Amino acid sequence: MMGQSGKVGEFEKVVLEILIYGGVASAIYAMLAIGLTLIVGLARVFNMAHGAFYMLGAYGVFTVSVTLKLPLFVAFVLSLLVVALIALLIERVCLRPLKGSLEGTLFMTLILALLFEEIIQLTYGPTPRATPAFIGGRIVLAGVSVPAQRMLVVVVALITILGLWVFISKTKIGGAILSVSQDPEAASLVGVNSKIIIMFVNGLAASLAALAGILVAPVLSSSPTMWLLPLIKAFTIVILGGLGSVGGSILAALIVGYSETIVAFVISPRVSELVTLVILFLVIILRPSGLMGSKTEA
Amino acid sequence: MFYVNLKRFSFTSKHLLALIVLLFLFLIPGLIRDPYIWGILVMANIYAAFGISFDLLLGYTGLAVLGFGLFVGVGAYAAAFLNLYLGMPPWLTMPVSGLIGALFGLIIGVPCLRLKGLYLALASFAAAAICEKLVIVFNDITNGREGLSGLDPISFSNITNYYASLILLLVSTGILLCIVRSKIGLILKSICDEEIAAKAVGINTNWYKLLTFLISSFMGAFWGSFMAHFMMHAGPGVFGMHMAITIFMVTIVGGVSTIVGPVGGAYLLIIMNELLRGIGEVRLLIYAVITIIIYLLLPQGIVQPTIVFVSTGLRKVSNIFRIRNRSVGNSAIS
Repeated sequence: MMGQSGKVGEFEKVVLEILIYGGVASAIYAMLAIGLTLIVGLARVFNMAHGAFYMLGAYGVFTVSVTLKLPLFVAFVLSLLVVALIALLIERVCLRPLKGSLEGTLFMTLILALLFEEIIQLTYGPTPRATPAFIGGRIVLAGVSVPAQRMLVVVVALITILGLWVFISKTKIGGAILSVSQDPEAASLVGVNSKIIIMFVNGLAASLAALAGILVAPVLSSSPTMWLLPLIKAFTIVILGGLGSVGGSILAALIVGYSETIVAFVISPRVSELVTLVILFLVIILRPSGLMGSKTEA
Repeated sequence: MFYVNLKRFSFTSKHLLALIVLLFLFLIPGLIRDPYIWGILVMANIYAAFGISFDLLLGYTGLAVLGFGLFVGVGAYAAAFLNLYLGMPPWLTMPVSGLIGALFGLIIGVPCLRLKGLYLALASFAAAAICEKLVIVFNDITNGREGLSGLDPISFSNITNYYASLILLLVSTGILLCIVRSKIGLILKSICDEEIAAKAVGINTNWYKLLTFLISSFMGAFWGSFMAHFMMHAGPGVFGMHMAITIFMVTIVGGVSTIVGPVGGAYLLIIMNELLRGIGEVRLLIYAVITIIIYLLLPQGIVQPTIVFVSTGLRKVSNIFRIRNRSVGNSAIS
């Protein structure tokens, strides 16, 4: 794509396109990964159903806005609430009895993910469903015309991540979350109810994933197997950034999002999925503690 | 190392139960005269074999290898290549594919030795996913998503297939049972429970983990090639998530770290599949729900409690008829 035209203008355009599309991908990955890294850092629960929440968000907005023909705002709020409720229910019924056993939670959440895939498959069939764009038209950015929907993804993601940052670092609940993730026993000594905090963060992480799914629904079409690749990417980002580190996750999301986009533009979109898997494999083998993680643990 | 003390052996109700089950398995083709059912039972045996190989890794060494489909897929594709391109007969491709699978187990196993828990699960999963993508990318020799078809079947009659799979399954189960009940099994358990303590008493934990990897990957690939020959097809789906999830559902429902458990789990899955055939697509959903319920309520699986229940019943019945053997005291302990 790049070398074909010798013009400098074309080359610059491709670079700009990579910058913009890579930004969109990174924004989605960051939203997925932050929720996951919070819950991994807090409860040591490696939630394989995280991708399913993303899928449920996408199908939720499709159902409410296309099938039930309700306004978009209602669709947003309803899908977020339903997914958060499902996550709370899963935490209470399926995960708490396992008492943090690693293999147990891994398998339980994976089976749950399969369960959601089957439910979606039975309800909507295997054919991908397309949600109409929330805002139409295209925005011209430095000479590159981008669909407005994609820019909306970036803007919403930026606002959400900034809001989350302020929430965690400035509010009392955010402090409680950090204290539980550092030392649950010490946190309970100073009066933090770690069970409620873990439930709350489970709901928060699930709604972040659902929000990512909602934003993606008009860009990519929704299908019953859409949970798997984003889940692997989110895990790659969480491990690359260091378990539990929000800043590391954002940095890692940028790395994964951009390297994927560059490979898709320069080599071929077909191998872009391999990039994440290779990064995951290399990080796990070479530096399991990640970019910003201080200690190796799993 | 596989020394069995024959003097200590005594015939208990558990052995009676095992004999009855075996007799039943061998007589099934006579009881149910339906080649379709025989084919279904071959699949049960194949999944049972995957389950027991996976159980050796998960239950005895604590290695949660999420990408177990990698070995199955390597076996299936190795069999397809050897059979279609080199013309090897099925009885030769199966052990050779097993060896190729063991080689993959070595390649994946060595870097994965340092890893535990989540990292191992994800690394093995990434390896399986990379292989799946490579199979699709190199579609000129692997035929991409369609997969390779037209492998030689083991036999055209399902009854031969059934007996071949049953005998091979019994041999595989026997080998694994010998391993886990020998000194190696104890060492593996000690690694699973407390790896640092195992190292402290001078056990080369890496060597034993690698050995488990080798055995398990050999078995996975061997049975992967059996499946490819039975279905006369090898497709990229075997590397995928569904295969991995099905294998560990079979293992968990049957019972982790029992070896016999997954066999029961696989047969339960197949029987349920048949009972629910009218419902169609909801089957997998129901099986997933049952797996979750069993895992929450009965973490040791269904097979072990069933064995205890039935063999106690058998002992009571044999006591009534006074068919007592010389080791009543022994059977009471066991």
